[in-house]
Amino acid sequence: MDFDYAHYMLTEGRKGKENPADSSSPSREAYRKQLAETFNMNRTRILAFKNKPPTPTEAIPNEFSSAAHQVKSAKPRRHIPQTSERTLDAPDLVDDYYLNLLDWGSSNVLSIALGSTVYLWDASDGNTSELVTIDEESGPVTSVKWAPDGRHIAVGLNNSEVQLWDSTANRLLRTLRGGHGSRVGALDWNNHILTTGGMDGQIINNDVRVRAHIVETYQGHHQEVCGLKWSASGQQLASGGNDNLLHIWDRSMASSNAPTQWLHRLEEHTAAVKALAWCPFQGNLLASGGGGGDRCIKFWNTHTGACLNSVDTGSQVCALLWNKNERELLSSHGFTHNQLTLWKYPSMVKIAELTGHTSRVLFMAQSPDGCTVASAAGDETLRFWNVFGTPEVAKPAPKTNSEPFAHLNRIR
Amino acid sequence: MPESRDRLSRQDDVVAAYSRRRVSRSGGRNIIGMGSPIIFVVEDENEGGQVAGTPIRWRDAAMVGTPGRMGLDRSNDAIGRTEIGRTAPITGRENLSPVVGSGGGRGRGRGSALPIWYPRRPLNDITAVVRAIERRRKCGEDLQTDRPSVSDISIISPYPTISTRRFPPTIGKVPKILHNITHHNDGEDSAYLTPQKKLLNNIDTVEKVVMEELKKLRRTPSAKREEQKKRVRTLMSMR
Repeated sequence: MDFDYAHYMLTEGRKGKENPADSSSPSREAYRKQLAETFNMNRTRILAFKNKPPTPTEAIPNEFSSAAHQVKSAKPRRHIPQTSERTLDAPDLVDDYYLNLLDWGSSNVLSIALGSTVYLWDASDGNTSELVTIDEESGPVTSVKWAPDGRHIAVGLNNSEVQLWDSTANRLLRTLRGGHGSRVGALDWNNHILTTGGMDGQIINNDVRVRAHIVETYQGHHQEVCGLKWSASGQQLASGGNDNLLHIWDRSMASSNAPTQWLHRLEEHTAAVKALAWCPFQGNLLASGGGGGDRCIKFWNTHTGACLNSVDTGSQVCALLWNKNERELLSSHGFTHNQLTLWKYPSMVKIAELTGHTSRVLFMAQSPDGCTVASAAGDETLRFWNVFGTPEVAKPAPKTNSEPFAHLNRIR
Repeated sequence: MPESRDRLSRQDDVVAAYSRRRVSRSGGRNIIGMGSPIIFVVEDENEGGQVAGTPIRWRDAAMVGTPGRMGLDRSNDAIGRTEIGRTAPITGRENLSPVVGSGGGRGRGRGSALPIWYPRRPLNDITAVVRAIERRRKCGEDLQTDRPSVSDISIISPYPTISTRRFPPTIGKVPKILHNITHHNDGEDSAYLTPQKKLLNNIDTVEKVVMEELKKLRRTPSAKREEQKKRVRTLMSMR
């Protein structure tokens, strides 16, 4: 029995209201309340029955402030800043929906193509460097994509060539020619295979280690290929084009004698399909976004080809990114709000809308730690959003409730 | 070519007309798939005003580089390179702006975040600049709509937070009284009183009012009820 508390409760007449004028300060009141909570003074009874036996691990008694207990069990809500954390200037960014000019490599270096020049921005120290400036005849740059090693980078050009660069040595390794007939607007890597998608509608798998680099060509699109994404397993490739088609290509189909090369041809979108994103926690789930005439985000089971859900977002969908840590999807949009929308999956409830760009948010890229999203828009700015979590918090450091002096050896 | 000259932008018709024109003129010219309209734009301007008539139509014609599913299987034809290596105008259905007249507008005037005179450097950190511009724009908007913005309120009233602070119930109507006092003072010849004088006057009034209020409160039935409740609580804690 808590005798101090008992004494206090029984002699409560003397508490508190001696100097009412002084106690009018709200900060004082708050302090008083905080003290009361800390000293467990909000009980109504001196003696009370306990509901359940005290658990051995819990150092805090049950009747302690119930609010604190609830907070421990539920996950703390994270605060999503509604404004961008940082804005960088991006002059001469080509305002073309069909290109893919932004990518963030696994070495934490961001690459962006401004006009005919590819710039690298080191996210750890903020240094900017120029990788290459393409001559006018070949340019502008139409796509950039980091290889999985974070060191090599592929640069697609308007003249249908693809250059392969070593970013640490700043050296051109090779140029892939002869594949496409027009600009290469989409690129994606699958280990040593660089898949390129062109305005000619072709999708070419290039093995960058071999002299004769073209190992396979996928025919299916009859207009520009603007979206190209390999699944995490590397088994399936999703491609979207200006012909409103979404194709799923499977590597196993290449050997089979199928009439068509693609595994699925999905025709539900009513506008160009550029935004593609494979779900990190469900390997055969693909999210696709439609252009201005469609404005929908659709979810697909890529094994069966079934459309699982379709959500009308109200504006042109330019890019999609999944949150690696939570079940959330981020979409970037064009006219009229130029916003980034964060959706809860699978309920597709809007969690947040990030505004700031004054023109359509054409390109998005995710940092390697999964917390920050970079977005580049037609307003020639590159903005960074801590939408998936703040970089410090993201490190899951499970602090076990250590007893004091746990780091010292037991008393001998 | 017989084309309607009304201002309705029937995109499909434009696409059909454009593709017809391209088919008729494609022979012997280097074409990059669907994407080198710069040649055609130049040609169209010289022709007899079919396209130059209405600005809306012209833009649509120039911008539509990839017609919809018209079944043009020309992507697999012999495609050469264009000699015109200059940056081609941006084409494609998705690059058409729903706002007429701004489709494919390039250059700094396309909703750029920075003012024209600001020196541009690739990947320069402009966070502070953009924020300042945003703030100024917001203030400008607020002034126009006669709505006092948050920053303005703190300038106008010397006691900005009194009316918005939450007081514990024991003080009762005092915040309202304070509110009245501050606003009553604004009506007087407050220009002749220095802020310090104003403050002192206010302090006196406040003291008077508060003491009166407290005396009243002690006598009210609700205060008596509070006392009763306190006694009950003490008793209940003993069981």
